[in-house]
Amino acid sequence: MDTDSAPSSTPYRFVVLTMMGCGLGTLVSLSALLFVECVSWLNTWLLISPRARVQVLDRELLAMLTVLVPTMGGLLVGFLLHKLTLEKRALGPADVILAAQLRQPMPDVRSGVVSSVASVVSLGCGASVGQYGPLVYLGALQASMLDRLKLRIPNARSIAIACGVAAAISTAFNAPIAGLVFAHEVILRHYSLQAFAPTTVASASGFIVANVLFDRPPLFLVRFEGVNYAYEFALFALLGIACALLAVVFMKSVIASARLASVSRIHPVLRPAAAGLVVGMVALKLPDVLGIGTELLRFATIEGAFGNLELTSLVIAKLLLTALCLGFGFAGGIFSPSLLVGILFGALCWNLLGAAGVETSGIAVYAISSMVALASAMIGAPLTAILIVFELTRNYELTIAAMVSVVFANLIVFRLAGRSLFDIQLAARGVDLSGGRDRAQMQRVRLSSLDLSEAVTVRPDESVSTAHARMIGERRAEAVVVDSRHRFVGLLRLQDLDNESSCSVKEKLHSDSLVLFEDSSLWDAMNDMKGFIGESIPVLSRRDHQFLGVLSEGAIITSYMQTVHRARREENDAL
Amino acid sequence: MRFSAGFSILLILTSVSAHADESEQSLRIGTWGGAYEVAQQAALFKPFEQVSGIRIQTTDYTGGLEVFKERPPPDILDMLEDEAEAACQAGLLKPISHASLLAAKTSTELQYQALANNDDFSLEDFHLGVFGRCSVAHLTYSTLIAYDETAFTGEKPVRIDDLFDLQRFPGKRALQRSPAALFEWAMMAEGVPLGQIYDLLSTERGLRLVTRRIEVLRNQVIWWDDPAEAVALLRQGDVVMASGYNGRFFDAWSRGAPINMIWDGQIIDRSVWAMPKTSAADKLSTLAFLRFALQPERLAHVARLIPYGPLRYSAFRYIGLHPDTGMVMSDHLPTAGHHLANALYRDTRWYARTSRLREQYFNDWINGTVVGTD
Repeated sequence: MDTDSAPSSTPYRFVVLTMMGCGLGTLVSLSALLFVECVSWLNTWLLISPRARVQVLDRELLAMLTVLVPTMGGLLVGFLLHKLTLEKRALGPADVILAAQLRQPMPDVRSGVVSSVASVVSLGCGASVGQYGPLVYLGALQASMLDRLKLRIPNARSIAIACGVAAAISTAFNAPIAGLVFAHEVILRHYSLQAFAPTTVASASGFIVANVLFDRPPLFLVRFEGVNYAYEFALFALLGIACALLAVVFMKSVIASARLASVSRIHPVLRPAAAGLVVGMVALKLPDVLGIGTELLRFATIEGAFGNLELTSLVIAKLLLTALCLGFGFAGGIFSPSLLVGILFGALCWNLLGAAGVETSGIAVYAISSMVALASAMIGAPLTAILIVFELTRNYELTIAAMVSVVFANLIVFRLAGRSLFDIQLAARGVDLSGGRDRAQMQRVRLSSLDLSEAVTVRPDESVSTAHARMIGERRAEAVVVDSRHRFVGLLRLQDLDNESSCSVKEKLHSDSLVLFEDSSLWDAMNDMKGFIGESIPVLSRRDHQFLGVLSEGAIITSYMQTVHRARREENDAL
Repeated sequence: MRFSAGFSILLILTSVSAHADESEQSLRIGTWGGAYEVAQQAALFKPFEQVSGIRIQTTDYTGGLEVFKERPPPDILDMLEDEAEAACQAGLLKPISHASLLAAKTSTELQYQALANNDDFSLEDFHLGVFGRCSVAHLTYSTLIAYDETAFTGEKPVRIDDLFDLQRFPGKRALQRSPAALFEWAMMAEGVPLGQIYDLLSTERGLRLVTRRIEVLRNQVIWWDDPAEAVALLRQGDVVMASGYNGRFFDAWSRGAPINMIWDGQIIDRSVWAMPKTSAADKLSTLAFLRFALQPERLAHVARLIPYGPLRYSAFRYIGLHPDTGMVMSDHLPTAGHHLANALYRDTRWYARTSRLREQYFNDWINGTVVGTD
């Protein structure tokens, strides 16, 4: 757990947090640019990008490499992740969310670095995965190194993580506002001025590095003159709903693929290679599925670039291959493939509208609305998505249209599947963020970590009078009855006894009283305690019900209050 | 460095032997004719003959690699950069490097004393990537669309999309019989940003979109092969728009032809000097010519006569005014700031390696084997 060290002065915090935002922002931005450059260089060198492929005159060599490159890349990724990381899997935004929400340290630096390298290899070899997840992790990884400095600032870790993530997104999309909002919406999940200020600085620094120092071109320019018909907004909403359904299918596919991988007989080291082989084979027929597919994003905004059959097969192929690659252990994100599947789906929907004779304002707005609706629903970031459209296209009309689709998509996916794929992945690892960070934090606090108190213990065959005397002597209203091997049998209450009685304890004990287990969480304890009246609750070991000690109602409530207070303080601190 | 030192000693030795039987030395240079060659004659060839005593003969060259089949081929060729790259890959050219040209200073100046100057030939003064493996770039030119002002008395075409807009701008177009530039313009008209044009043209789908776009022009095109034809067709009123090189259009315009250029969508490329491998020309005199032609004053002199941009930074200080019209020539270069709003720099490596594919696709379309459909 994050310990908030001794308070420091406001000017000190101001200076340190600003420097942190600026320094992290610059560093993360540079490394993000390096990451993107490496991937693009590998894509050229390994003949993944169409621009490189078309220059190869030997078609047989090209076909051979198309299958070989993703397979060998998968082998390398499998080796890297399985042999050199502690988690034996790629790290991603879910791990960052976990660290920020539960105030726990990020996974170790070496695993993080290896995972980032594995992502570069995955993307470079044309696996059907995204680059933004690894970039988010790369930002958070650098932020986590600040943990080693003793900054004496409350919540320094989560603020640093937010800074790193914001700078990564700001650089990658050339969209500083979206970077800022993403860090709050997806990672921190609250808005406090304390985190907001340094994150803004980091996001702006990332933007300056990408835009002013390196003069990166805008990521996605599109011509759009405005929505012509009012009824189209209803169509955008419908499109959002359709995207939501597709997003649910996409999420379920990713999860199903991971399950398939774990029951398959393929050794974990070889799983990415197996997925790579499938990608390569499919690419022989459909070369568009290789890599991030920026060309497809562009084509999807051009009317008539695809036939309906082409679009349908690409949507299905890209969705399934992405699920396969992620489930079988390639390192990479879900966002870019979602953008791609979304935009192709949008183009398909527009084609169908046209075929049905509906007058529309052109393909671009449908393609882009669908793109961000699907992608934002996958990662649970509606606000970020709206801002990304705005900052990328600088087109107000387009943003308003996309906004409608985004909101409907997120609403429905939230109801049907959950807040995002990350939350679903975390839930599978036993962290439920659907009830907020307080609840998730309390679910992580094990009762064994609280201070258990001693209690009066009696044996079932002792006489009630001796038990009574001991309870009076220790000034307790309750005694715990344990057997000869110290296993819990029941509870003896003072009010049930009279000191004259000669009967044995077992005739008077309550065996159905409330007990807790050492591995129960604070959250479970709070729920179990509803309606509880009594002095204290016995805590047992889960395996053989050994009696370990008692917890008073007060101890549990104090711990609960601490968690809630810390969360509220983090959310409301100014500086 | 050891190589270049040895190389220059070798050059000195050969130059001495060449000097011994000094008769009428000459160089044959293949170049593009028309206004461009007139400018080269005045700025490069005549001055070089004067200071070196080497006679220069020019032969007509309009691009392509057919020229290498000639026996003997020209000693020096003024080539398009992508074609030089392709010729270099095919082993048709002699290697050239900055080091070899730098090292040639002593030997050439020993031989042709009038060439001596204080040009330090520093690599920093040259634009990035000027030196290829077998070529040295010497100027930037632009491929763009010009139109006949008298054909459009009302609204004028100002965007590259207007090339394909027969409703608003009806009339025939003169276009080069080549996929070069035309494919890029078709992509631009689809709204593809400059940075992605070559990415998209690398795909089957991109080529499909190109043919769909150029299909509208099918019966409205007069194809040209020699760039001089483009200007002539426009001047004669045979066409209302023509693709071509900015220098030639400028030349016609500066002589009073009612021609205007659409800078939107201009494609900037470079011309290079290259030396065919099978030419038996004296190495020293070729190097002497290249060193001479690459001097900042010479590059600027060309640009003063025809608006093709020099590729040495220092050359821009010498450009000045057009001798006949008195126009500030730096304003008319393809790389002038106000021409760059939507300018595409040609990817010459990509061009060199995809030429066969693009040619084939283009010819299939011209022959009607591929028909662009919506």
